Amino acid sequence: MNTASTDLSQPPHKGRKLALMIGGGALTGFFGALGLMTLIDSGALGSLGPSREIALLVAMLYGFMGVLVGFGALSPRLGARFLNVQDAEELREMKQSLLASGIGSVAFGGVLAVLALTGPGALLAPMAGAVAAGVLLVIATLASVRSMKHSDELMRTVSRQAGSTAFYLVLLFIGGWAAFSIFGFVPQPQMIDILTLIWAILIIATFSVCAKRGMLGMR
Amino acid sequence: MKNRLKEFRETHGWSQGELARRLGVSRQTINAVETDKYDPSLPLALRMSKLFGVSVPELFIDDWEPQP
Repeated sequence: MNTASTDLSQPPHKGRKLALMIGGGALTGFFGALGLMTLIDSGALGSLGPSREIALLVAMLYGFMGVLVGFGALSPRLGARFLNVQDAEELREMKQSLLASGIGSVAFGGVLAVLALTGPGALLAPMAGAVAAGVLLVIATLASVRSMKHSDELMRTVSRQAGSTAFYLVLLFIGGWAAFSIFGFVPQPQMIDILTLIWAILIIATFSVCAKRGMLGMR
Repeated sequence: MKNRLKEFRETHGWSQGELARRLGVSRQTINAVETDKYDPSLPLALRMSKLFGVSVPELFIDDWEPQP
């Protein structure tokens, strides 16, 4: 049977999809950040400070990505309009992996959010924060393992390379910050700064590996 | 590494999705191999060559020659 006609390597409306991805992402990011900053300014989350606020923004990014990917997996027809795939069928084929990945991303971002909201002046007491972070970390780990089980060799390769890249970026940024603070050039980082950097570096490393492999191009 | 995967796939009249299903990988992987963005593992390269009934060097093009 000739099925070559269903090969959608050159899908229509590529430009429109790109505009939707960039515009939608920018708008959602803007309004998400605005909403979060309004919530922080209202004092509902306690007294946070810049470090914890940045941590919450990074956590929100994880949540945003996780929700988008999870939504795309659950609703392939709509997901194909804003995720970088050839068509809805591709999302159906990757449903298990993407759904687990989306849940993992939300939970992993949740861990950082809980850490940012725990401690003196913040919303959560240390024990409550520890329990919440522990539960979310277990969920994130289980989801990641499930996602990897349903991934094929390309995604596992990307994942390994991202881990390797992240290691060097951690050395550069966290190591560099630590060294400069020893020299007295910059203030010492707070623990939440280090965690935020690790979380942010994981995203940067993943996108960097995907970009180097040319996987961010519109499909 | 340059390859002739797309050429063999199209000769068989298969879509990327169909080839991915037959090889047990994602469509993204097939697309990445065809566009030279990803060199498959040896087991996957062997599976591809078996599927198309050709040798690996016929599928993947390497200009390297051993020194005399």
